[in-house]
Amino acid sequence: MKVFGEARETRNGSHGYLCFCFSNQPFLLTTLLLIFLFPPIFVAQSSATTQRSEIPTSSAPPFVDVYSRDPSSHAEVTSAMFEGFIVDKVTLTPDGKLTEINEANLRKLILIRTGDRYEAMVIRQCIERLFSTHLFFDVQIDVQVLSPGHCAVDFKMARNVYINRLRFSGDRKLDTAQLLRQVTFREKESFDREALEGTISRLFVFYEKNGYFRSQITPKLIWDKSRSVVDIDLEIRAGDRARVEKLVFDVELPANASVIREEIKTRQGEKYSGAVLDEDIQDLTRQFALLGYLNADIYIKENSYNPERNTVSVTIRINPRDFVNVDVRGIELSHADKWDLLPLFPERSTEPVFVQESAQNLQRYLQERGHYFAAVKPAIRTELPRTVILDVERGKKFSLAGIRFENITPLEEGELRGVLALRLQSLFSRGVYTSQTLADDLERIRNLFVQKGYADARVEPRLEPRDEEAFVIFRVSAGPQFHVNSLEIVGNRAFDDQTLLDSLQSRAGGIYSPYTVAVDRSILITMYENAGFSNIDFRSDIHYPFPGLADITYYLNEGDRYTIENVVITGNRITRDHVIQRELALVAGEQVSLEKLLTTESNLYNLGVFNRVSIEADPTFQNPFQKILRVHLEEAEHYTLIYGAGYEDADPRVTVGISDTNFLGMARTLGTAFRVGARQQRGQIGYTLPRPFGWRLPTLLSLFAQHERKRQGDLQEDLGKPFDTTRLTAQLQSERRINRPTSLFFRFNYEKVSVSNIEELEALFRENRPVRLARLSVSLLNDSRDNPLNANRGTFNSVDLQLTPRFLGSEAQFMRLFAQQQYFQPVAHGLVFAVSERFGLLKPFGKNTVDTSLPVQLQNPIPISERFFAGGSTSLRGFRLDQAGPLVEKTITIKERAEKRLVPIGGNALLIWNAELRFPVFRFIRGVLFYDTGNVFRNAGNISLKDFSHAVGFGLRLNTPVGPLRADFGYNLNPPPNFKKELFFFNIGQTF
Amino acid sequence: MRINGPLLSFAFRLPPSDPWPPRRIVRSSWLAVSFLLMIGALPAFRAEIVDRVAAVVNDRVITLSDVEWSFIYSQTALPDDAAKRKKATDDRLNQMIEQELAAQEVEKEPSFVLREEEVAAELKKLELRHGGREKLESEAGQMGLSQDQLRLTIRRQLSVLKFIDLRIRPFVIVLPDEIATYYRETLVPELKDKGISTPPPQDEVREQIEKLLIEQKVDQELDQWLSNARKRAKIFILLYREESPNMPPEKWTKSKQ
Repeated sequence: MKVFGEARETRNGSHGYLCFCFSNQPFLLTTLLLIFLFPPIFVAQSSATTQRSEIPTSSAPPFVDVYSRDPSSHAEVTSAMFEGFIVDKVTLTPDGKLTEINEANLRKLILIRTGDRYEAMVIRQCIERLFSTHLFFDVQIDVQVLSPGHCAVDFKMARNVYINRLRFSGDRKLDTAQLLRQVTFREKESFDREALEGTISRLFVFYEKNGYFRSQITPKLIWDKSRSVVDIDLEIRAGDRARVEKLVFDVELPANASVIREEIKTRQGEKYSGAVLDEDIQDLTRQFALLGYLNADIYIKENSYNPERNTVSVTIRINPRDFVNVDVRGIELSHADKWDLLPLFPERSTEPVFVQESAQNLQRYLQERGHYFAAVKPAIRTELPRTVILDVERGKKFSLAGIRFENITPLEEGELRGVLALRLQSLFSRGVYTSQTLADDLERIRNLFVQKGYADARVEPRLEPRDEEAFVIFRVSAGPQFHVNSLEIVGNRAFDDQTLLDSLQSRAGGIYSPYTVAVDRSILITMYENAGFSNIDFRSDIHYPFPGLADITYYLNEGDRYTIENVVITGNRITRDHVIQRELALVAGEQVSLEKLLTTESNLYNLGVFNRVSIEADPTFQNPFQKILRVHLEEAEHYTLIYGAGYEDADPRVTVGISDTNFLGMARTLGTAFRVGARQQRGQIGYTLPRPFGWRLPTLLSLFAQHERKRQGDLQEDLGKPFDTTRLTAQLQSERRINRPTSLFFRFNYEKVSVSNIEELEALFRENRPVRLARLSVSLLNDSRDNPLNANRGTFNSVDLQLTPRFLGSEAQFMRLFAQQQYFQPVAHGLVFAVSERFGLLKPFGKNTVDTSLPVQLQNPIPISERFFAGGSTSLRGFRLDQAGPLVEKTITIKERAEKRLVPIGGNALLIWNAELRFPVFRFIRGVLFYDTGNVFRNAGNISLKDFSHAVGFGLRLNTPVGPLRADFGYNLNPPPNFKKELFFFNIGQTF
Repeated sequence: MRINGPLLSFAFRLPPSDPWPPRRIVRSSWLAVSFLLMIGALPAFRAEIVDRVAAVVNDRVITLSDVEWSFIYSQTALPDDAAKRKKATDDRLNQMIEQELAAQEVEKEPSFVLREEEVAAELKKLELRHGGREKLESEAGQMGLSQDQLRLTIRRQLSVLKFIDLRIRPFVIVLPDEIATYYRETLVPELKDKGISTPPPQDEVREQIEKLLIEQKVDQELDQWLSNARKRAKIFILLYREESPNMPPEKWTKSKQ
């Protein structure tokens, strides 16, 4: 017998027996054990049967006649020779500086310590553990005998070489993006010679395909051994492109070569392109198919290159073969529509399945256009010429006017309507109805009932026409509601029955549905994964002993449970180990929990200093039920330069800043930013601590200085706040993330505010220029907008409450409440309805200074710099910036003339409501219709609807990568005296 | 990969997560050796490379010591000639690469992951053959194998055999013509060469011939399967290679220190 049981030439006949037995599985394990036991037995026997002893003589090292690693070497030394030696020294010797891992983490992978006995198996395991970090491509073990029975072990590691940069140079003639698609590796990956050689081959093929048969590609590599990175430069000389010397058509009738020659893009005498030629073949195939030659044989029969002349000769073979008459009756279809709707053309087949699908597509096409009762009858005639007939009866056009439900208790109609894809008619459409949509909705409705336990629920649809309207009626037969009769779990050992049963959604006596079983499966698997198990096998078994009752049994195979032997961190060049370690939810000795792995990953990402975090559980190569948790990090660039420009309310501005997001490797951010504008200048320094005192409470310390000049101008509408403001602020802010969209902020800031450049208004605000304000505030923020810069859906809610008490050093005491809510709802066809509400309230408390010499309406203990102002492109577009609210008439000097002007003085209450309807205009241009209402009031008690200003208007938005450019025209319906009604605004960014 | 030879040595090659080679074998076999090694076998006080990565198969390592142990277990004598010895080593390394590839490919197939019951059943049979659980544990312990490691070894190797039995063997068919051809063109001449002038009738040996041909075809299918797996795999061989496949080739490279 040749395969099994073949007697081999061995010293022991039982070896041949083993060969034979091995083919039979029942004997396998016997065989395995015999094999493992064999060598000692063999040793005992072989010494009797052969002169070649396993025990070497003093002069002959073992294995010398069995194996030699280096054929040219005379020293034949193996790891096993050192078995039992005492290891006096263990060293780690990489071939260069290690940047991805430090020595402490590397040593965690070495299982052998000074003083241990040398074990070849353990050494081997160390090689695997070091290799599994993916940092080294080779690990070599050097052993030096120090004295009899003592040795030193050196782990020599060859670092992986990474690709630092890849570029193309030379006269490439082809687009870099196209060339990159031929490359099978990427920057930052480890270098692989085979991949480079493969890429060069692909590039040669690609160039030939594009007509460059004389291309030369020279790879040039610069290897930085200290950093273990390589720059790859592929120098390409494309050469001259080949021309088409001959273009021949080998055609069968009724194909006409001269007509075909005109149809295709490849031309004799012109430059050759294999890609264009392939397109020509595809186009010809398509055209012949649409003409009825579905099985036309069209291919490149010859494509030969002449290297001396740099030309290509091409022969295209066309055999139309059988003609099939595709007769579509009752509707006119363009060639493009035929190709898209009738798969028998692109599939080039008249198989019944494609004909049927073509009929269904046609029906759907007509139903989408309102012919709800369209019918398409397919027929195939096999007598020659073969004919496929699609007989279309369009029927009348309808609009979907209503959808009704019958017999749907216990479900609510709203619940059912929410899952439908059918749409009723509207201003712009007849509604959405096709047979497929109806079938899908039917299934969705049925699933809703099944989820509630009505496993036998049936839904029957009806389409009722009435004149030019159609109505869909869903009639439901729910059947009995199924309940769980019994629930059992089999195979669990790690958790007791009750713990598992309590965690499940299914309950004995409760409602039964397949969805609950799926949820239970997910719950159980997650529970086990979080307890360190993997390869969990789950199976469910459902029996129905009586109608409406289900017996559920879950079978579990718990799989293997793993604990963590060690945690090794790699990839952190800058970030300190302890910063990473404090974010780990898993430590050595614990079970490998999926939940904690995800928490660790999330914590590390939240530091904001890593582009990528990957956590792998590697085998220890020692204990099969332990894992080494390898946390590999890819640090982000930590220096950021910010620069930008903006424009808001006739205030152009420039911003520049620099920040280090991983300051001192502690995941702290130190940054500075400056904004310089025509009216406003601001400078800021900030320092963020992600975990002050170990608390998970990111805290920002910042100092900023801001100066805002009043608007200069002659006209009423040019005026805003009638003073300059200078603020110097020190702020401490902590954030507590409640969930993904919701955060809580705690703030303390100490501010020195100066109001200046008041001139004639000095008397008004003499008492209202406090120098110091100390604020305590808390803010709650919830943001679920899809895009904060240009939202189309979602909400934004915030509430901010501030207290400015004297005991903290404030010169005025007041409370400030500011709440805002924004809501974005897509309506239809790109329309978005957006609403914003703002409410603000200032309330003094305790002792405050008020200048009683002023008129009553001007007496206000709240400093003017802290009052609410409104008006402008982001609040009320019926006013210029800050011009809304309480006004006081003053005579001021403008160009040496005394002029009466209304000057805004701000208020202690604010209420604003904005509504916008945003709609698409053309590509990236959108339009807006808006209505702004509200005002600033002296106090909350003064809020009155009759004092609300109203403005309407329209605008255009030009979407750009940095946000929309905005132009708005506002028309104030009830402006104050001498205020302009029409106002233009130009800005960057949405109103809200 | 041929089932007889390499699979046998595959049985010797424990998966990477297992301790390998078993400790006790080393101790029992070489304890006496080590004293002699100390005396004269080794060049004193000179560092020697004793182990390293020989090849990598999709991120799993085959070390030099793995190759060395495979020769020991298979009791294969290497040629004296250095070049032939190198070739034999290379060939053995390639066999081990294929075995590792086979085990990895089977691990990817979820339907071939053995259930705990199947492994337990085989272990039970083994216990019965060895006179009970304690005896088996004792014998395995002498080889340095813990129960968990033994279980894992069994599982990995059973998976490969199960894969062969379920995915390859059922699709192998031997036609009557092929049996007749083998009988006529191979068996009869072989028997005649051995001096058997009257070979047994074809019907008598049909079953044996069929089994033999099935195994041959299974071998061929396995080879094809492995060949396809090899094309998909990332395999680096470092042993005896002048340039590592992971290092930039000298002919194209300038170094920057």
